[in-house]
Amino acid sequence: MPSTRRQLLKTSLTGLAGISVGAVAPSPLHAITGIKAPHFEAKVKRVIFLFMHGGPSQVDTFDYKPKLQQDDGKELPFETASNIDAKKRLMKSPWAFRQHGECGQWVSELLPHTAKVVDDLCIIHSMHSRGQSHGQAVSMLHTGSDNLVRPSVGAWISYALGPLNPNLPIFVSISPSPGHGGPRNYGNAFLPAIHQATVVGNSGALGSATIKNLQNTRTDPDRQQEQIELLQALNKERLQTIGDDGLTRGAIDSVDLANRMQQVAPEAFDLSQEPDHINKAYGVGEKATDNYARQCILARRLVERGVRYVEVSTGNKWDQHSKLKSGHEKNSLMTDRPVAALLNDLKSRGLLDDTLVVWGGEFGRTPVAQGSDGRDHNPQGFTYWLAGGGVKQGFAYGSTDEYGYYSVSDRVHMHDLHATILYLLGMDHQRLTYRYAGRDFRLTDIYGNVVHDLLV
Amino acid sequence: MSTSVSVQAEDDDAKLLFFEQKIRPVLIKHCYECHSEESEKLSGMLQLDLAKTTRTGGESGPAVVPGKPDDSLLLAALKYETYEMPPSGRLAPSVVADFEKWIRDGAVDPRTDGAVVASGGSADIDIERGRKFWAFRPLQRTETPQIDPQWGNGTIDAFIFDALRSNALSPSAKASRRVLIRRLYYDLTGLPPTTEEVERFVADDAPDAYQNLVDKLLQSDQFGVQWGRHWMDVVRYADSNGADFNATFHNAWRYRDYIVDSFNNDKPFNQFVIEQIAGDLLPADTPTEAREQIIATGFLMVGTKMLSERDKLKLTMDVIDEQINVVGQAFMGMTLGCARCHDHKYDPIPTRDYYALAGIFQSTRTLQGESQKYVSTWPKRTLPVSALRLEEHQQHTEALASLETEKKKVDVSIQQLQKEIDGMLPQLKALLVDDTEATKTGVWKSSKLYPHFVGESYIHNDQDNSGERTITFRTVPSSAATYDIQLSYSPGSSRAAKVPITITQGDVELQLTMNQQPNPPIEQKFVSVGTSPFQADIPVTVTMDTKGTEGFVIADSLRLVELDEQGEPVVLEPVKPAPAITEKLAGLKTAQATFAKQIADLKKNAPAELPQAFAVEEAETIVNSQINVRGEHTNLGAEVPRGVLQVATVGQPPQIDDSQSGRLALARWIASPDNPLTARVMANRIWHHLIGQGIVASVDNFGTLGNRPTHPELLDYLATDLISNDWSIKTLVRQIVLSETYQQASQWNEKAFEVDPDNRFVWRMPRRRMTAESIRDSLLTASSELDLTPAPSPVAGLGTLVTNSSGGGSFANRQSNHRSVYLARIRSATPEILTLFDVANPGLVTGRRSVSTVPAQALYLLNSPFVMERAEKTAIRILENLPSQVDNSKLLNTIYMHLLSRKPTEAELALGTKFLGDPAKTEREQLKVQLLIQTLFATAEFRTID
Repeated sequence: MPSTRRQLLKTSLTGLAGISVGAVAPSPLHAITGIKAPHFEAKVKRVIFLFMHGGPSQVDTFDYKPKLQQDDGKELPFETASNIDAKKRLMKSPWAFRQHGECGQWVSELLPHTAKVVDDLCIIHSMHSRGQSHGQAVSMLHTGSDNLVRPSVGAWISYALGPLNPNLPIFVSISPSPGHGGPRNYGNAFLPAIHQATVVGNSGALGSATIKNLQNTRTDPDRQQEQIELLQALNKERLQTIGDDGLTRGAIDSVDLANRMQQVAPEAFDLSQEPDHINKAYGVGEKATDNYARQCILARRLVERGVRYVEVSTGNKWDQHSKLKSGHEKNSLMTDRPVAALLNDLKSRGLLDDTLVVWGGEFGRTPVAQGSDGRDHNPQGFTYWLAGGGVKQGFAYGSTDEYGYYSVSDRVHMHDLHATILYLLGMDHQRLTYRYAGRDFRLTDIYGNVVHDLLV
Repeated sequence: MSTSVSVQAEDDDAKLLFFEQKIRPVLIKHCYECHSEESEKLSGMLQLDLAKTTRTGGESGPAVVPGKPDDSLLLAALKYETYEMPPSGRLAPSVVADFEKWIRDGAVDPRTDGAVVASGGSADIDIERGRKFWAFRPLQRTETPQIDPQWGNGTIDAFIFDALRSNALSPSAKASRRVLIRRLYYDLTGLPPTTEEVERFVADDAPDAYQNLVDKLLQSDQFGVQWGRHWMDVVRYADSNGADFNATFHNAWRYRDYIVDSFNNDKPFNQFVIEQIAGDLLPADTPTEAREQIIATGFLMVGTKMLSERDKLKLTMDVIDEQINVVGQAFMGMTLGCARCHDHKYDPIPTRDYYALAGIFQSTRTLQGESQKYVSTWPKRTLPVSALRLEEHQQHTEALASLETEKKKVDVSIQQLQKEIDGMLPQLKALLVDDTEATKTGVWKSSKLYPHFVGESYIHNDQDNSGERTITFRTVPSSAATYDIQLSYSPGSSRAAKVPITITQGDVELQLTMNQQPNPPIEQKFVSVGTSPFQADIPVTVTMDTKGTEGFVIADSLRLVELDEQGEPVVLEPVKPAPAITEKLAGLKTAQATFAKQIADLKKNAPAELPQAFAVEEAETIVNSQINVRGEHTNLGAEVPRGVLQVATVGQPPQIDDSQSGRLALARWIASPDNPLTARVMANRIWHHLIGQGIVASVDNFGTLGNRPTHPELLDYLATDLISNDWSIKTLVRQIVLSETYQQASQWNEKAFEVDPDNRFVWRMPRRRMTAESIRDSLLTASSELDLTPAPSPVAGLGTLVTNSSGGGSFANRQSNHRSVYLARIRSATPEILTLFDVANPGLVTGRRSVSTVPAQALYLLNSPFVMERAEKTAIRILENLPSQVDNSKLLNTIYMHLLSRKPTEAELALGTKFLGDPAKTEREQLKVQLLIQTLFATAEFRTID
């Protein structure tokens, strides 16, 4: 029996390699993932999704429309989408746009830091989705369904690819909002429970930034190791008595794994290890950026250590039906610098080559005004950007109409984005299925096309 | 032109007929087994059940090339020229000739993929053929195999033994009494037995000891909790909406209690089915019965809905879809959702059938009104109560109303009196003339809109500037002095800015104008229009004219404030109110207090609020649904009369009256003994919960893609038995747990495992991980904290929303020691321990929960405060009841019996002793006992049912 924690850790790691999959009763720890080998060569191993919850305005960030500036105050010459509160009066962007980088893509003055990394971005101007309200659109974005309970993107990826690092969760959601569906947006639905996200923080706030129950605040660590030894000895003794049993073996494995996790994982969540220049680059310690900067650093630490899918949520902040000017300015201030720093950081560590970063909200906003200083929801056309392995850089794809309202050319539906993300991870969205209630389900339902034009 | 078209059409009809009569049956009979969507393995990648795939062919190329028999591989294979198909033997030359003719004539083939046929009737779905699928065949009671003298005590065992024997397997030995009692307790009540109960049962020599135990547990109130929870999984029960707008389901708990009570009272399952779909439409003899039946339809309500969907027609169709889905899966094991967009790909359910059902739910009211803009809500309905209770309630309401009216009167009197008294304490020496005392010409309107005025109200000219309306205030100064002339008015931008004012005393006349737009500077009522010396005893008049004014002219009062020589207002000594007035006020105040107390008492002793239902009702208009082409509610196709699934209908379909939604007809059709699915599905659910695996493993799916029954005759035996015992769930549960099959040990057997690794033939009882609820309830039982009484609403006091949709959230996880079934099931905030141990997702129909073993569970058991606190409490309780000098083996015996209903083995004693240390050498340390107990909580065995 190992007597120190270090020894135990070593023994357990050897033990893991020794898990046999012979003629034994099935243990639930085995066979949790869907496909053993990717369908295609994977371009990326992991994904960071920067969720701009609430819906940032495309015509105030990336989708520059000179005609909208010109026609400010005039009536929109075509119909608005139904069920919205905005009037038909066009409202120009209060922010100036400029071309940036070698690629010369337009970015507004709201996002000066992102503008500096625009040569790394693959911008999609022609996104469209389903759901005129947050609930439906957030659900659509996360699960591919605007009304039914379905597994989230991260859960599908967890199911399909399994862990890169067995000591860490596969799918982590940082600071998700409890509203607009809450856990449903990072849940496993009918997939095995292990594929749901591990949640850190709440509603855009990182809080203590750690996994629940990861550490015991009451029991002395050495005593707990004695306790765990006893637990495993009792489980093994029981196995001797009753003969082989999948549940008991699964329990033994899971205790080993948990024990390793509680020793290894805290390091992954320990942001105090970051050097000053990194903290400074992201904006840690500065009021406007501190919280989101720490979320982005955590995301990097996690993907660096092998977490497959990390979602970083701003909380429902971008929903400026009114006070667009002050609201979008505040949100941009909060996110712009950390996001740009994240890209630079990933790049300098060589991680951007096999990581995909996705930026966007559940929808965009109308080019027509709601009240005097607001914009309504707009799933009819909005902007996303991708960066990282497998996607073109300094590239823009698709377009909205002359006012930035409807996606009109090279349209990319949310299902298409999902198909493309899965493709980059080496999976065919039509073949990644799970049978539930008599049907083979897919993330993309019966839709979705990989947008090959975005890919290198 | 038109002739040739119709000739063409006739020609096509003939070809179609030829295909249906000569070709399709042959394909089905001889080819589909290996070459269709339903084939276990598609041979040669060739699929012959669709026109498209028949033409594209398989690995070898196109099977059929229309018009070209020679290029068609299918024909060559039938002729045994290339492949030799079918492999079972060559088809008759006439049949081969039919194929040749069919191909030459263009290979007309109507078999399209369901996805493209969403218009209704599909030639593709053959209902008659569908009825041949096992699940749609009528229930059959086959001859029971002989009960073998070696093993078995009844029909169930005879079927099981028969199948075991034919697979070269044999049953396991009988489980020990300790194992049996723990198994039975968990299966029937979800709770462990106490040490005393275990000891008593182990020592009971009576031959019917086991049977007595079974009967006792079937009578326990906890039976309904355990079995009700199983049903709550199936009906996706929750106390909140979840989704986009997490609205509180304030009255869902009544449906929860209805479920628990129904299982406790052994309500016939057919009645249970009918009440949940259409209880509100059933006749009721008593208000209690009516109430229960209405509450039952909570079944249709508790689903999750995208309440904020702005397109309300889409929302309606989505809600209907959810209802159709739960009705299909819960009662019939049918997934009907697919047929919303296209004919079901695998099961014989055409889109028509879906919309026949949709019409029923479209004629049912599930949603009504909005709780805020764009956010739908549901009908609020007060439940019927006994005449006595209703009368009580009415009396109470009336008594309260009358008391409140009386009190209001007193309140007003006090207010008036107080005002009078306040009026007696003027600070200023002044003369006040209210508009009511003034002389008016024309019609003035009275108003109280602006709150600061003198007297009962003020008046205005209604913007009439003809000059017809004037008002003159008149008063007589009692002393000669300089007076400040003040007028009160209600201000505003709509008021006249220049109101002509004329002031006279004797021959003196003063003319000026007054602006009524700014706020009055004095006491928020008055403005000074000027000062003037007045003589005593000669009347002063102040006249407001309206001629030529713009906007409202307000007249309220005139006040002449006497000024002293310095020009300051003269202040008077306060006047004391007469004793009669103070006495009157005191009297009124006493009356006020009395009324207030009476009201408070009445409220305190109020009869309970009349209960509200969370229930559906018939819609105002009864409609048929139109097919939503491809599931799009904006793309409407043919109207479909309301009805039921054709494939599961024996004989005449139920008649649906024009005046009814059809829910009752649907419910009765589902609950009919002739429905081939209902009894089978429920009997299978019960088998699944007791034996660990359904006879049909896919308990919610009896369709083509579901599992086939391992013991079809046994399933039909159980289903017919359920029906013939008046649909009694308890009788069926009893029969199963009394079988030898159920009483087998769960001991591992490698030889049997190699033959039947999934234990499909039940060669042993499987070891099962208990439910999340049982794990929590067991922890609370160990620490003697569990409260076995039913809990009321778990969401009382929550608002319209349980959480704020943009963050934070008003829902606090409430502490409760009630059984887990009574915890609030907030969609989005399921209690941690339940989520970790695979509680059913309340967004989905769950007849079979998944079982996961993940590190997060181990972390919870090792590190969570909840588990550690239970361990601490358990340790304290156990040590309290033992002598302080207790030795390790006695202590360990007590702990093992308490937590695992068994004694520890020698090895376990040794391990435990090593951990606890020697109590002879040092004082017994509670923390060590506590850690040991926590360790046992964390073992696989604690959460396993052997």
